[in-house]
Amino acid sequence: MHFQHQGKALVLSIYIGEADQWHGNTLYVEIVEFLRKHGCAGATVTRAIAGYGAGGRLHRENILYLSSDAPVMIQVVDHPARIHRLLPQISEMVTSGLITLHEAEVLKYTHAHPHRLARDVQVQHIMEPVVTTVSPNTALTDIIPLLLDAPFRALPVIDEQQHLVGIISSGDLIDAGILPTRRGIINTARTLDEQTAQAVEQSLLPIQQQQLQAKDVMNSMVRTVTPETLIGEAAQIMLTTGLRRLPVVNTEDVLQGIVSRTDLLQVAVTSPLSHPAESVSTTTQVPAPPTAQLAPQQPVSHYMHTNATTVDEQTPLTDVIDALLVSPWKRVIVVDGEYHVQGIISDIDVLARIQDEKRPNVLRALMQWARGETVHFPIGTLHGLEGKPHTATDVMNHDVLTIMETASVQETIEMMMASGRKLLPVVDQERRLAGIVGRSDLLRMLAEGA
Amino acid sequence: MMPTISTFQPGKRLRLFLGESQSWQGHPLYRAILDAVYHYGAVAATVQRGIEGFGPEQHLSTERLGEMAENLPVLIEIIETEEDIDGLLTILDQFVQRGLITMTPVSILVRDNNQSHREHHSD
Repeated sequence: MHFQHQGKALVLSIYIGEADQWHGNTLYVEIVEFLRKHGCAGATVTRAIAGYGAGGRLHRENILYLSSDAPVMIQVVDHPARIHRLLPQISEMVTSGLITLHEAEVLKYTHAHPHRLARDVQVQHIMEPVVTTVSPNTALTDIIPLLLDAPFRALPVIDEQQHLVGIISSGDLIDAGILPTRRGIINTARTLDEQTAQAVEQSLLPIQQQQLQAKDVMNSMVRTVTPETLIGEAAQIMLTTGLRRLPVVNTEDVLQGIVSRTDLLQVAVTSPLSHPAESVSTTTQVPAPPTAQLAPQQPVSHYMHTNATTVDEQTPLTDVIDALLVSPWKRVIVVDGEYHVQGIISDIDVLARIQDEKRPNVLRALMQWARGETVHFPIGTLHGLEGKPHTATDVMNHDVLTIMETASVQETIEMMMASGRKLLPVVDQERRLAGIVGRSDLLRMLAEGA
Repeated sequence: MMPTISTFQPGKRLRLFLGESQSWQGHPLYRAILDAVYHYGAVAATVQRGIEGFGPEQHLSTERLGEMAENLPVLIEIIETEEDIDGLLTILDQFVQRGLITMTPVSILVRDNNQSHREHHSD
């Protein structure tokens, strides 16, 4: 047996004096408390016997006076994203000390599962500061590219005093009949063959003719939270409203940032790894055997749904699409005779994996679907070259990541966040499909404080 | 007197973040690891006791409070040459069930008058 290469992490080293203070308390204690509160993977404080640092002050243990100002070093091995997020506040605390960063390979990491999630963290510590906003008079033609190309899914509209007056999401634009289909489909279609790319560009043309501005299409009834709102509360709001992101405004209604469902779930992730061995086809995460010292954690099976939509490999594509259209998950799972997971199919998979010449028809059907119309495929669209009907196998994505039903919610969130998946099929000991779990289900745990 | 000629050899620095109360066959785990690493002939190893910390092995421990000082962090740092690191990792794998191990590349300064203690253990 040998260590697996688990991934890379960032190492943060903080060199300070043992007697250094922060708001009347010992600085290193305050830093450790801060790191713990913000869900860091771990921190180790060691004391040196002498030294000096950025402050130029010579530190030494002072036996005569029974007080010590020896140098102390805090080492934190964690996910680069979390370290970078916490760094501004840490560097504010370390007024006369030294902070270094370096990358390290992680050969082994075992989780310390928290007894409970840090639900009392305020959203201001996990939100994303907003960098892109538009004004009420920004033309719709300028807004569409921002929404389609940017990594964010919602665009805040602010007035000249920086007050939040509305928000524009691609979902609202689809409902208003402005965007023809969801963003993932549009962006995928653009990367496919020329005909399909042209078809999607054509569907966007009517937007050019409309003289609409941000204020005409924005949603002005925005549900907001304050920087002090606790994350458990924010999770609850998302669950009851179905919103995936909430603008954060101060008491003057000035926009401070946006907190997303992903930001909230990230709080539960304690793994320091930035590139875990993920997205290997049909890999199953086998949880480490529980040890007595681990906090009891609910298995993911408590939060999963058992109504996953399934088809088998030979199911004709027409039936697959029917199943896809009615599936609450907008995904169907392909299983074999023993219910073993073979693949997963989304609307994007159908579009991307079908033959080039059939894509414009599929695209049109997906746009009908987005508009809530009856979906209609021209005859022959779903048949292969020799007139044989396409089946689930032809369009399924083999690269499906599954999680064991005995895995904890914690492990499930970590897997979801590391792989970027929004949905994971849950399998039993024999690797048969047991259910399905989505991000909202896991958000429930944060809201309910399990 | 002839100056000592120095060369650099590629190596790795391993850091093992463990807890003081972890044990292996009735002995403190860090001692068992230190013995094994010494017998393998790794270039260097040091063990430090932390004064406070949390992580895979403990929720929070600190020397400041008596009841929380039972499982202080233990940090083992091992330096080994590139060519011998794989064998060392195989050995460590038997000892470390829980904890964190990181590895960073380093250059090891080799003095030609310095005999590795590996030779003493080649029997």
